[in-house]
Amino acid sequence: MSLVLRSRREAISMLAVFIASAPSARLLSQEERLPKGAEDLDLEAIRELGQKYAEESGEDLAAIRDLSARLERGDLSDESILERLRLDMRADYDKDRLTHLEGWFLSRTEARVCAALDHLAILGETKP
Amino acid sequence: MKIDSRELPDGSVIEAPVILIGGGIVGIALSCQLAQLGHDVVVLESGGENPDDKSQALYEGTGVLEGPARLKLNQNEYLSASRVRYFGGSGNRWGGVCVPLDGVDFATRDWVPHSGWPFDREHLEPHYNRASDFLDIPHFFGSAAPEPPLRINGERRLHLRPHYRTRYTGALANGPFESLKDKTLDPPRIRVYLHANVTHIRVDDSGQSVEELAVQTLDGKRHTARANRFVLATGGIENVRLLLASNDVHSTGIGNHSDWLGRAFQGHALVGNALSQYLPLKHWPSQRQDRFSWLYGTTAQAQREIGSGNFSLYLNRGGPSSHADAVHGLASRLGQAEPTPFRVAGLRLGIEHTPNRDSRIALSEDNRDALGMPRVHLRWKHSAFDLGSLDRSLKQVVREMGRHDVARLRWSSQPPYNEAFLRIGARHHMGATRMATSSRDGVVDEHCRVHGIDNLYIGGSSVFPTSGIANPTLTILALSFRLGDHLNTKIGGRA
Repeated sequence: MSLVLRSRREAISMLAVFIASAPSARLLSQEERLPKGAEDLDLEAIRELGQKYAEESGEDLAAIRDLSARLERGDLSDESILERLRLDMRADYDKDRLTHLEGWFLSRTEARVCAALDHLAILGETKP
Repeated sequence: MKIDSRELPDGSVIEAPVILIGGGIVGIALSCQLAQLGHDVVVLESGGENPDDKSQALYEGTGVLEGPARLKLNQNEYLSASRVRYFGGSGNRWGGVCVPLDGVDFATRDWVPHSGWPFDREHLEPHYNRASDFLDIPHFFGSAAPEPPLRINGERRLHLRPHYRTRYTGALANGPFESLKDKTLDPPRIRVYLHANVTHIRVDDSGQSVEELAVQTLDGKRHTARANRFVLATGGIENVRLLLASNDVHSTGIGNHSDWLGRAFQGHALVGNALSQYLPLKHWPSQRQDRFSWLYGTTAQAQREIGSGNFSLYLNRGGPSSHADAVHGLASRLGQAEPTPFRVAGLRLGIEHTPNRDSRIALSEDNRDALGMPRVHLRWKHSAFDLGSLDRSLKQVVREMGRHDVARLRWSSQPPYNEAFLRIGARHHMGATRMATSSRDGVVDEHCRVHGIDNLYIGGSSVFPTSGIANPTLTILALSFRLGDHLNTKIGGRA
């Protein structure tokens, strides 16, 4: 999967530093970091949305970092992971925790997943 | 039978037990109904059989669309552009969409000022079905009522509004609407006077009864029309104009006893047209898949929860959308939607124009038409409540679609939405002769009779106390059939 670096990268560099400090941060390729099941998503557009969210929601960086760690090398088709995200997403819609990205109204959880996938992709790109 | 009023001798007297002022959709339906019940009826139509500039120019006036703050959009063209003045009326341009008002639209909602009809929708449902028969569409109520193709959350917050399009639409160059008009020509009991402009309603000295109508033609002839009962059905704006202008006995106009005449005008504003998109994640049930056009409304519970008026969500075929693949893919993965090909729909949101007294029709005494009638000034004003409803309703749609894995919504502009988003979205003119049981609260009573006048009735959407966000024609026709029943009992006709 070939990904192009984007201009919004600077805005989330701090997050990348957080994630990069995790064990084995520079040892895995992008393909290895991204959860299974992500390969059939439109990752380029997901990353755009994720970058936008990280740009606009700086206070949410810790949550994005946590989610990145949970998703790294995980499995997006794994029901145990999906169920947690699903519950969070429904709760967001219930509680009006919405965000507006590139025109789309999304739940905070969906936006965090976009941002987390972008960050994992960034780390993969920085593999030495 | 059609009669050209220009060919009558000057000073002719036109007489019938019942006179209908206006040859639009109400004039057509009501005259046919009364004729079938054995009554002789006269219809006075301002225009001829075809459009002509001189008649149409009688509709010209001034107008402005206002928001609660500083928005003032010139709408001078709207007065003429939104109406049609020849036999068939604005039905000649009607798009043919038939939707009943929601049940909640009839209710007194303590969070919506001046809301509440004198009766509930259940009372009107049989008449809605008669209107459906008249327009040759399926019934909305009863055993043949359509099943909603999609329930988002039962009936709690969003519900689907079934709607049909009648073939009797004047918007298409076709025969059916012409055949509808022709229904008035066959029965010998109906006489349609063309080029017959009613310019004054004369009441007796007591002010409690209409004696006669002043009728003029554009070529200068003056006639008189007399009846036992009169029905004013010239459209949601023109009804008001004629009542306000008939001010020789009632100095502020007929029916203006409580200063409601012309006030609480309601139109339908639409927002987000062509800006927004909607992304269904699930397969829709089979019916109407191909047409892909739905209409949603909101329930009383939801309106109460978010403190809003009613709204409509119109979904139509749409084009490709930025990031749509990504949003669909992710939402499908996280949600429980089946992995299906997604479809993007165009979305428009219509908000209820709730009644406010500053939204009004008035006369420009120094600006008169070719017949000497004062022209209309329309002040179409939305309140801060309406704008707040837009914000809250849109978010509610997002929440409900998301909670139920139905869709994600794209709306280009960031909330909150201000009055700059308001645009006139329809040719619907409602509310300015509002219906109320008490004469203190409206212009006509529950039978559409003008309070204080024993023989003058009003047909059309100007009697709607509130207007929801449904296309009004089906409700106009339902009220018309109901009025026909009432007139029949008053006149002593057969059941």
